[in-house]
Amino acid sequence: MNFLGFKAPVTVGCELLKGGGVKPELVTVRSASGAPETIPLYNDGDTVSGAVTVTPAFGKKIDHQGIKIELLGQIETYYDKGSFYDFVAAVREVSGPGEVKEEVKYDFEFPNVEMLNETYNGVNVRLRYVVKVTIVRSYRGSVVKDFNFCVRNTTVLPEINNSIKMEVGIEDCLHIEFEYKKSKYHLKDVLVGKIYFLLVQIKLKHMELEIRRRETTGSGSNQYNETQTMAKYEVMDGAPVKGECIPIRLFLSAYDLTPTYKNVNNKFSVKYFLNLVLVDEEDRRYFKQQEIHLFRTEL
Amino acid sequence: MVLVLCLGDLHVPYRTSDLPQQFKDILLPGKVGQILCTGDICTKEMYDYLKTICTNIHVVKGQFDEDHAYPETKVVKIGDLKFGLVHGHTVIPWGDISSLGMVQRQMDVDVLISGHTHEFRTYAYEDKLLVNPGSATGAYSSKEASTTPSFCLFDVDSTKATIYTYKLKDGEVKKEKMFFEKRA
Amino acid sequence: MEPPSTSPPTTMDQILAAEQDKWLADAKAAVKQQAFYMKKAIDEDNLRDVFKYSSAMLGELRTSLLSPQKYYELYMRAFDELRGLEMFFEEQRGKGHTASELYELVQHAGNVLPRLYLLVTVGSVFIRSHESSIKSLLKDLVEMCGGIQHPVRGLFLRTYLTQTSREGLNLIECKVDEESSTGDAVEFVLQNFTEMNKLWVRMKHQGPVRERGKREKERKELRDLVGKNLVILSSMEDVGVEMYGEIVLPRILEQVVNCKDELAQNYLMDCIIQVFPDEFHIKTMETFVEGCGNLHQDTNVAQILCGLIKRLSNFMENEPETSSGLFEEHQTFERLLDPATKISEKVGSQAAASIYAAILDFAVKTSEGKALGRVDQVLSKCAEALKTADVTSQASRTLKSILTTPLDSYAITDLLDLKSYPDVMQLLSPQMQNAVAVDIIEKILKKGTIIPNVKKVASLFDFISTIVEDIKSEEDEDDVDEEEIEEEQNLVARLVHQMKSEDESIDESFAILKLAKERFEKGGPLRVKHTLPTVVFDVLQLVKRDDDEERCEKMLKFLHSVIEVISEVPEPEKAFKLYLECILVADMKKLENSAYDFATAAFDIYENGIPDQKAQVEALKMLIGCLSSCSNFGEDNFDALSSAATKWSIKLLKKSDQCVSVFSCAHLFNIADEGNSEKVMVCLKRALTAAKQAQGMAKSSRGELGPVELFIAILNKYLFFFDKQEGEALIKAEDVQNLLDLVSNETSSLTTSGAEGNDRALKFYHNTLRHIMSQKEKFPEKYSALSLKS
Repeated sequence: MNFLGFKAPVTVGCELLKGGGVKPELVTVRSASGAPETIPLYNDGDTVSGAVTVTPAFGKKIDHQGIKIELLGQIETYYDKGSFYDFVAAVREVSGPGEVKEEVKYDFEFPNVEMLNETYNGVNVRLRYVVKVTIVRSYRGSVVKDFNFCVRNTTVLPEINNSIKMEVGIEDCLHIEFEYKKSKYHLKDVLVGKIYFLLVQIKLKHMELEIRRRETTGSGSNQYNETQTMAKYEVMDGAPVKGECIPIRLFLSAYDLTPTYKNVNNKFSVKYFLNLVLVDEEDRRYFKQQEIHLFRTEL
Repeated sequence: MVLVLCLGDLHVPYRTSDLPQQFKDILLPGKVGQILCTGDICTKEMYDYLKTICTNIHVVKGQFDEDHAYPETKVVKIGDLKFGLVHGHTVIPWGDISSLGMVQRQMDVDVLISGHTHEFRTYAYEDKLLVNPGSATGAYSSKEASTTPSFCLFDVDSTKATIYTYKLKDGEVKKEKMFFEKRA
Repeated sequence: MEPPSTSPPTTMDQILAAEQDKWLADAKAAVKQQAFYMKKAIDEDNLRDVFKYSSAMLGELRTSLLSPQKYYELYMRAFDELRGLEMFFEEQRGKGHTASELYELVQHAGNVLPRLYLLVTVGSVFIRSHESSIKSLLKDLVEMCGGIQHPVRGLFLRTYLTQTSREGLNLIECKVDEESSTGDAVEFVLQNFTEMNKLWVRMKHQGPVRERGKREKERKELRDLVGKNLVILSSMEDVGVEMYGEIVLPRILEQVVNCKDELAQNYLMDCIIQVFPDEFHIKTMETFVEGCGNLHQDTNVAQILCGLIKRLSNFMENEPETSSGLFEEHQTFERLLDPATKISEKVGSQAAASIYAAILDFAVKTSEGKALGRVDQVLSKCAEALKTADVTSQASRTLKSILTTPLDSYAITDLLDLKSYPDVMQLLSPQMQNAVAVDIIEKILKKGTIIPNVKKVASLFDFISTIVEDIKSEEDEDDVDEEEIEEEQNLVARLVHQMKSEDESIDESFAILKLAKERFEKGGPLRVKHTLPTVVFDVLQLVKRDDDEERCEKMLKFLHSVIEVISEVPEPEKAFKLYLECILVADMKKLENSAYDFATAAFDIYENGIPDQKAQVEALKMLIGCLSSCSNFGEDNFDALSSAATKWSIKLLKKSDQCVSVFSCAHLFNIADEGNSEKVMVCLKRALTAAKQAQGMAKSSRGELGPVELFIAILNKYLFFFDKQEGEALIKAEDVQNLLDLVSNETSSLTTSGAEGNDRALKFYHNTLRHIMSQKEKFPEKYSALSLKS
């Protein structure tokens, strides 16, 4: 917004609060650029309030056509040339046209905002919440300042939580049965399981468990899938023989995971998979992937 | 000085099973220089045993010896003494002094050693000596009611000999000594 | 723990060793470096970095390059560093972290091996913290370690677990933790043992087949890592014999059996034997031995069982009283023998034989009083088990020792009651059987043991039947080694003298000798000629001391049958000589009819059985000697016998033999007896005639002087009888003088010739003259008529 080198001689600050002037918790998240940033944390239904301060540079004044504060929930899809889709949009006109000669403070409040989607930073997609302050100017361009905040929502782990149990193999070569105690996990959960070797005719070197995240964006011919390995966890060293049982215990809290997101505003989905990988002495990889569902049960 | 072991009539295995242990304890290898045996050793094993005591061994053929290599009689000169060796079953009547005397004359020996009767005897005959060492094993004799195991040792010093006799009585070895000297 | 031992390397191994050294040095350096950073982080109290660098350090243990021996060195290096880490965790616990937090945190490590080392390290801190039950922690640790399936890495990780868990086990033993019992501690060790053994066994199948030998050697070096678990179990004071018998031993055996690996089985079974107390073994004997029965076929079951038995025998030696009580109470012998019998059927003959040898040894050493019955049981089972087996030469040697061992421990007469002894002997080759038989006989002879009755003698013959009986029949006649048989049979013959009634019962002794004859007869011609004469002499000894005439005659009659067998071998000369001995004894006992019967039998042999001239001369000499020694024949009988002897003497082919034989016959007649004195003269004259004939033949055919010695000998005989007679009743001095003159003449012609035979004759002559002189001195009256020319 600041082309031609004219920097608006104004500083815009914003203190974000919850309803009743309560200070929100801060969380550190990875920003779109990858750098960590510490921002306030909200939940669905929270009141987003606060105060925006506009401070002109010393001895300057600013003419404007009005000042507005917006609360936006945006989905940004990178493949689509950075198009934005606002699924939440609310605005407060805090000032009509006028001039600011000294620091002015504008209180605002968006009560009980519905924020069902969680903040998410993916490969091809980003979901973010922002408080956007705009000082409208007809010439020299408006001054726009974004204040990110983070939304995370907790759910209750479903009561029905079946184990994942399956026998897989390659005929006359490798037969294993794996068993993960649950198919649904909260983000600080411990994944516990066992791998039984029913038949081993190949010389294995090691076995690892991967947590993979698959992010799906777009639809139809424009669908994009991105898979990331979020965790790589060696669970076995050496070659087991028939009858061996390898224990698995993986603490999910060690990894930067999100809950499973299903079809967020028809724009994207995020799914998690457990991928069991067996590597033989010739570095051939045998694997089996199973979807797990992740839930946030606490903040 | 030569030590000469003189024994015979062992009769192993037909009449007895072995030499008495008490004798074996005395007859250690390397002590005697010659063995004069009156025969009836009967087996090669006993002969081999005697050879362990001394390899210089003279044997004559007894009644039950089947080794035909043994001679009937044998004359052995030890020191300045001539020893004659005969088993005795061919000297008739058995054990008769006069008959043995004839053999002594015939063999022209100073000491005639004979066996067969299983009875120990030394007999000064005219100026010669007749010796029967008896049966070293105490083998039974068809003539005598009982037999005492016995043998003797000659300690020969030129024309003289000291004769030590050994008899086993009641499990104990009784030793006696006598002298013989050849007259010039 | 001892470091694995080394052995001299070959060239190829040296190259490998050089590489190994380099790899080890690199790995050690890396451990050192990471440990340095780790310690720095510890100093800085930087938990995150401590995890990071300790993981990196432990990551070095992930290597597959090192031999087990080198890996051990690397492990020890890391082990030292882990102590510091453990202390750090202990301190962290004091600084607000809970043990369970730390326990979770270390599990974030991505690589399984470093993660588990860290887990075990924190685990020991956790156990000490009492935050959780020791039982559940130990269980978790031992299960999580299942992530390492690589044999060497797994073995060392679990070794680390073994070492660090000791404290936890001690705490359980001290009853610090209410929730955890000795059973839990045992369970933990058993589980770790099981897993370690599986890994250890798996090493065998790793890598190329051609390196199997090398790997087995490497495995051997690691065996104590596995065995350590058993040592720990044995050191747990609360593990009593009950728990041992119900849980510990069955579980160990289960693993040992299931691993189907002979190296592991040999080692671990021995380990069980060595580490657990004697009392445990005694009380759980069945379980252990049953386990032995399920071992791999290549496993040396015999050695294992022998090891167990040896251990028990040692116990017996060290604590005779305690042990024998326990052995009897728990029927150790029976519990050993029955299952061992089953095992013996499955293993080879050598193994079976050694098992029985060991049990026998045990029975001999431990069972006072009952020992012989037990020895017989062992022998019986042994014979049964190996009856149809292919007995190898090595097994034969062991069986031989089974048979000879008791010879030193027991009186042979007692051993003769062992019914199964001959059965075991049957398992051996004929040669071996002979050797055992020889051993038995030699032992009897050496100890001078008396076999005192028919029953025992029969049994002894069963024991040594191989050597007594002719089993080989005709098929390998060619192989017969007569000298060897003679030597053996002489031994058997000596044995006969040991078979006699101890209380001098003639009936018993005679019965024994009858049995001996019966058995010896089965030996065939090659044997009876050596063995039966002894029976004859021993019966004669009985007769000599028996006062019962009827029995004597019975025994003498029996001798006829014995000697007949010998004559039919055929050994006529031997039979002849034996008959002569019988004549002497019968005569001595004044049993004239018997004596005459023997004489008849002897005559029969002389006439029909001794064709050889030389042998006849010999036989006749013996016969004459024998008859001359008899003193109790009636006139008629003796007449018949002496006439026959004289008749045969005259019939001898050679004149010189005739001469000697006939003048010997003179001794058959008593010069003092008027009726017979004539016969003496007849003999002497007949001898003189024969001598003259001999001389005549010598002169005419060869121009020699002839047998002058014969004349001298006859002269001596004349002198003999001259001396013996009363006055000049039969032989006149004149007769002697004539003969003396004749001899003098003959000898005078000898002096000129100077041949050796002449010299001998001359000496004989001179000695005879000296004898006459000596007689003249002694009896001047009687000999005055004799004049000596020279």
